[in-house]
Amino acid sequence: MMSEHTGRDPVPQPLLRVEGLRVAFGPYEAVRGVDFSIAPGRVLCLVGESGCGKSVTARAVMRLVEPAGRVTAGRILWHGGESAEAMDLAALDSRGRDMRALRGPGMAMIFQEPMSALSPVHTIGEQLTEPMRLHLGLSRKAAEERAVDLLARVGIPNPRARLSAYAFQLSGGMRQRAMIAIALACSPKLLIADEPTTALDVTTQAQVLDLLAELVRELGMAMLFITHDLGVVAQLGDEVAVMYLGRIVERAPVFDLFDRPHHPYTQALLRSVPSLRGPRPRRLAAIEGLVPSLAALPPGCVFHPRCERAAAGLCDRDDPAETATADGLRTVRCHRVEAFAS
Amino acid sequence: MALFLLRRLGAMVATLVAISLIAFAVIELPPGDFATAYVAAMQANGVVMTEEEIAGLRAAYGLDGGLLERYAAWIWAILSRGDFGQSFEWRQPVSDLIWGRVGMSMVVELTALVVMWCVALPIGVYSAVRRYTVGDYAATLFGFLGLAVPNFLLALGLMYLSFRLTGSALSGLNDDRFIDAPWDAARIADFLAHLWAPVLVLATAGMAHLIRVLRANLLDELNKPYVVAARARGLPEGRLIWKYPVRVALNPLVSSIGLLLPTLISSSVVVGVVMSLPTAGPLLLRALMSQDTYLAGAFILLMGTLAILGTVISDLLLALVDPRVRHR
Amino acid sequence: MSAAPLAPPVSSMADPLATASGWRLFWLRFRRHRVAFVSLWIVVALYGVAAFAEFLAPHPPDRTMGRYTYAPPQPFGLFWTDPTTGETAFRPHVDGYRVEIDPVALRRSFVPDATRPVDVCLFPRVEPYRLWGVVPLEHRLFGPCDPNDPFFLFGADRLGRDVLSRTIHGTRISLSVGLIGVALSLLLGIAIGGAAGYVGGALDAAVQRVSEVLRSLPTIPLWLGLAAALPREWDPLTIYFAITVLLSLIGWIELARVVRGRFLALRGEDFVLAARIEGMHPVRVVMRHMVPQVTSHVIATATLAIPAMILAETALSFLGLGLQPPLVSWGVLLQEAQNIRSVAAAPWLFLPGGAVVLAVLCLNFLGDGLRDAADPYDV
Repeated sequence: MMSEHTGRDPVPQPLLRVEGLRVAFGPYEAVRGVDFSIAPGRVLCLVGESGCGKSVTARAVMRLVEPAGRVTAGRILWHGGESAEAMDLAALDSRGRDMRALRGPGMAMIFQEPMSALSPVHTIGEQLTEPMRLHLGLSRKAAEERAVDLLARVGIPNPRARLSAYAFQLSGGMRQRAMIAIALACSPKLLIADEPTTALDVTTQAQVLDLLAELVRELGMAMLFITHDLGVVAQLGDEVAVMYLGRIVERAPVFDLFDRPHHPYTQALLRSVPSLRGPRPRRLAAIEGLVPSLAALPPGCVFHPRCERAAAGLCDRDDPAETATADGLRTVRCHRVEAFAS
Repeated sequence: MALFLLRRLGAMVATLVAISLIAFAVIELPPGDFATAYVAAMQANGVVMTEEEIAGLRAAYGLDGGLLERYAAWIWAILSRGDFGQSFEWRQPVSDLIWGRVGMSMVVELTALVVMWCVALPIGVYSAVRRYTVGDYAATLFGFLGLAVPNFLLALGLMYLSFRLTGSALSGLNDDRFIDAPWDAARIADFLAHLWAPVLVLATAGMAHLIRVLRANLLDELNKPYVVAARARGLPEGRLIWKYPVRVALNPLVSSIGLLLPTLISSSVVVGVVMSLPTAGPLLLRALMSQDTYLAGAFILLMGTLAILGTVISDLLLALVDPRVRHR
Repeated sequence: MSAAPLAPPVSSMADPLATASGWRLFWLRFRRHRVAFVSLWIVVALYGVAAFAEFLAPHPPDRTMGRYTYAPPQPFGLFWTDPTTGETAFRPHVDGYRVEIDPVALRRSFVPDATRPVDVCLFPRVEPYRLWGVVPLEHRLFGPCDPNDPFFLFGADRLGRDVLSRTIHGTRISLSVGLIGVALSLLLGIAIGGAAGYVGGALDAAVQRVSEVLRSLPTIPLWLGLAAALPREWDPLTIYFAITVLLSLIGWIELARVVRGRFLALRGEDFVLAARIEGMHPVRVVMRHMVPQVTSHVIATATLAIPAMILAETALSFLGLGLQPPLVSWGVLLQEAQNIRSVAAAPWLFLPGGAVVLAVLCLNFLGDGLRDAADPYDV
């Protein structure tokens, strides 16, 4: 199942535009200036190793990092409101009325571990009807009817009986489907999926991905999909942003990126994926070295200690700026991108 | 669920047997048996009992049998007739003496339990949600003091303060003028005016414990994904906290009511003695001091039974509020 | 109750915790709890007081000065101003007493009188006594230069005995009840909990049931009942040991619970399995491979059990069914405060209660700190 590849069509007005986002946890900056935008009906995949800040970025968009973390700089522009003006979510009170009104009908989130993201002591029905009654003002009865429809839509058999089930009574795949139903409760314009398939077994993974792709196409919502799995990206994404140590190092339409990765980190990532085609390599390529700690970031380009193309005197001194390719579809953050992107 | 209930009931019966054995030991351990003590007590009062009377007494209480027989006779009298034996100090059936006292103890203890929860719940939630604020530190300090100050000292301190400030020492549960008075509005009002002091003392220690545990449990829950997920659904913060993490954090506390009750019964013995309450504690102490064994044994049996009932009730309560227990 | 770092994990070789191991790690983590660390020193000091009570207390605990019943605490001063000449000189002293007689009630009461100082000396010579009943001594740490002068820093009780000296002597009994009681509980707890956790199965289930039963019993009535059954003709020292044994009969449960839990977890570990497969004797497996792994937890739990024992002993003695005079424990001393009228007249009888609170508080802080250090990931 492949989503329609529309990378080169004229880019529609974005639903969400993030500019220069920075998020700090105490003295440590987990997100260090991130820019991206998502248009309605499109899927943006945020890819990177664990700890690169992709989940934090996703949560920051919904202002869910507080109080442990803090959005320290940048704008989160939301174009999904009634007015033509964009709303800057970064300027809102993270617990205030405006932000809350957006969570649910504006954007919704599904999580990595459906078991722990569902309350252990409340029924699926309770958690599913709650946002409808809160945001859409539905009566209990109306909300339950809609809940049954939603559960049926996400492929849960015998949905009416499942309303009174608890999370621990469902299988992993069913739990994640229920979680998706809860996220869809108020027909959000943007769905944020934080590694929703990582905790599932492979068959279930594929089913859940198919379901998500279907829903995006059918409901016309945008999706921000967080993953470390490049296979999933190829299956689901319209655009990809690759993150490393709190920054986006390369952003491109999905097939461009897979065809011609520009950034050395993206290239290394793609090499480390085992391939069924072509000659079998002696051993899987790995990226040399370890991810540096946030407490001791290397000077210059943060990737240079692990980069095989790092140039002394440049990469270890100056932080590279983000540069866009001529067609404006791709941005890369590397000093030596002209030299090696061919 | 049925299995769970059955297991709980089985454990309860076993525990009750254990308690009755301990109570029986309290009766049996002092030298001499009930008959000799009774005869001595009667003699002290100038009543000389005939051999037949003594023999009748021994037969009635099964005193001449073996240990097991004596235990069986004692338990059987309680179960079949509600007969706990005779108090030779008061020269009355034990059952006439204990029920009023035990009832009064239960009133004090249950009131303390309710007060404890009503106060501890908001404070515990507050100090977890507003962690490391002045309020949190105050609650933590209170928690440690409640842990370290023995409740008899607290009771004495309270009585001392009251004595100094008002000239009356906060003892008893009614003014003397209400002795043997009917429970009319005036007496109930006076009762309530006395009740707060022992309830305050009893509630403090348990409250401190509850706040500590609730705070720790809630801190564990506050950062769980289901809380973030609920926040992502746009719930107002206050409603979210009470509906989700507090509900989950309370579950282990609900089951701890069962363990709180034995402590409460223990404390009320001491506080009852200090504040001269008409509860079970002072009479138990007096019975033990004067080796009024059947009376003491009856109190220990009843207190243990009440504690066990509390444990079972709290287990059922837990099954009621926690689906993970209910659907096991 | 440690503050968990909110940031993503940061590894750095400069952090001493990253390189230390075993007991050193435990100690380093413990030292981070400042309150617990201070409490450790207070606890050490308290046990020091318990050990050297005879030397530290200005009077023997049972010395009565009948002239000074219910004498209030005397203020202590280093400098004394002569009221007649107005000269001030270095002269460590406490104020003496002036007797006032209430003309209505005809009751004598003592009022500290600054014009009649009682000189205070370091190491005054006193009647010979024996430290621990062995070492003959003739001096105490401090006291009145003239042993016949009144010297009551904490006031005197109804028989004119010094409350301070009695509190210091009470420290020995009260703290040792905690220590011996916990030692006994520890033996029971490790044996029972260890066996349950190591063998598992039916034994484990039985132990679980028994400890459930014991946990759901109200302890004070039980202890009272059993203490009342102790033969009256026993001497105070035997009673002391009997009470300690009674207390530890309940005290072992929590320790057994901790040991069992750890043992159950350890039993599945590969190194234990390997030792068992090699045919090592079960006792040796337990002693060699499992006990070292649970030691820090056991120490923490045992520390937390001491204050509970102290409180239990205090309550029992306070009610009159625990330790008996002439033994002096904090609970025995507080028995004097049972009558609200005597406390109203002599509130300093509460002072031994302050010692209870201090000891219990510090032992709790210490235990909490040890537990956090033993298991930094537990709350």
